[in-house]
Amino acid sequence: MNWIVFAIAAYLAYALQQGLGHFWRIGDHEPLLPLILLVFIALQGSASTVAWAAILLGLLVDIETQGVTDLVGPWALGFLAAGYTLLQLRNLLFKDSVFTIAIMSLVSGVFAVLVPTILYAMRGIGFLTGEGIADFSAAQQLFDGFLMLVYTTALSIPVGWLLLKSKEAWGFGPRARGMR
Amino acid sequence: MLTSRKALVAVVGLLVVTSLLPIRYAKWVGVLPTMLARNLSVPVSDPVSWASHKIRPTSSGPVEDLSAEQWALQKQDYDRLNRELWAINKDLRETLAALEAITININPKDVRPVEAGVVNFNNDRNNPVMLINQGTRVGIAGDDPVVFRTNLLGFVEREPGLLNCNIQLVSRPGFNLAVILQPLGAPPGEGVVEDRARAHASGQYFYVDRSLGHGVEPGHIVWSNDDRYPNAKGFLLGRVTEIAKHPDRPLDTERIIIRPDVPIGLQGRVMVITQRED
Repeated sequence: MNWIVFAIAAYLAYALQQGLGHFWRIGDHEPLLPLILLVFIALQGSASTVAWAAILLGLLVDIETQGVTDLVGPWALGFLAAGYTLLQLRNLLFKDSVFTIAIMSLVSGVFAVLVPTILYAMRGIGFLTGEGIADFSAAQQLFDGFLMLVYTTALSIPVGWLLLKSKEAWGFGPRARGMR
Repeated sequence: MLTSRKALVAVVGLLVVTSLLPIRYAKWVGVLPTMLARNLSVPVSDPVSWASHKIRPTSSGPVEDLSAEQWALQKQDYDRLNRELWAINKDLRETLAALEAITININPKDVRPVEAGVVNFNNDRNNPVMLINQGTRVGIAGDDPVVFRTNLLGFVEREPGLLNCNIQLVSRPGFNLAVILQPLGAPPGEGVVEDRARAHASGQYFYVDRSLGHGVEPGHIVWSNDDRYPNAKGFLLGRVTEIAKHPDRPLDTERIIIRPDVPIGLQGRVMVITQRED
């Protein structure tokens, strides 16, 4: 993968996520652009590329949202789990279909949301930090995450289409059958 | 040199650690990358944000439609409200300072507080008794006061057991105690009224009967000052909530109603003030 193209795409995803927050917010929910980008990369790139891209995109979400706390890491780990899920499933999928991107945004997004929720909830355990987050509800976090994923899935159709159109520029190498 | 796999494992380990860091340290980790990313994204995010606000403007509330005169009037209202809140805040601070100044009139060197758990509470209106899980083995003696924070709950029975004992609660009908009634926040010794408070038959409140012109008002605090229980001196019995006419002598006497600050008997843990032996 061409990392310069990745950097530009990640930058745009981050900046648009920041700039469009007011425009596309429905209630308290916004779509997660970096997740769509991760799904696209995970369907095309090599395993190590996917892992690093997932961590970097997750870190962008961590510093962009700063939702529940100021923590850096939960979303990065969540994106890593989402990337791993995609790597396991991608051989069964049509990687050049925009609908694959849409459906996998929902499926992998569940893991991307689940991991930070678990990490936030774990903070309340005494022998770890014993520093629970005030007013944190795991159920509410998961429900909000699910609504966000539904929104992201809807947005992933036009964004996925654009990404697939730009596929040549990304410089993904050929992927042999069965290769992860 | 690190291989990609080893580096990945190291980064994941680091992320797990930063995810579970205490918030005060985690903030330091996130400050620099957040600031960097936000500043770098400004050339794109700002115009996009401006455009998105143009396309979907913020709903204008009535405040934006105010005329200059209306705005000035509203500002006056807010200023007045601000002054009122400031005064309330000042009163509350003074009250808090006064509450902190209520010293328990016992020498801490003479007493030893013993924490105890409440095992049972019979909730009997005629003889409310609380059973606690400490006894003479830890130095508890008969008539030792039992308190919750600064509130007096009762006294240890005359012959406490070795490992547990009953507490006769102050709310039992007929119980009486020499008390001091004083305005909340008054300096020590000022506005003091000494009398004897009695528990009402309902067990819900205490009362003091006094002739007209006694000077006691709702809000006065009432604290123990009974020589029979020297270790209980200074602990709160409650505060005056109502001044009523005396049921039998309404023309010349008033009944001062005192209610406790905490529900007596419903505590899970209490403190027994015992006499230091050494």
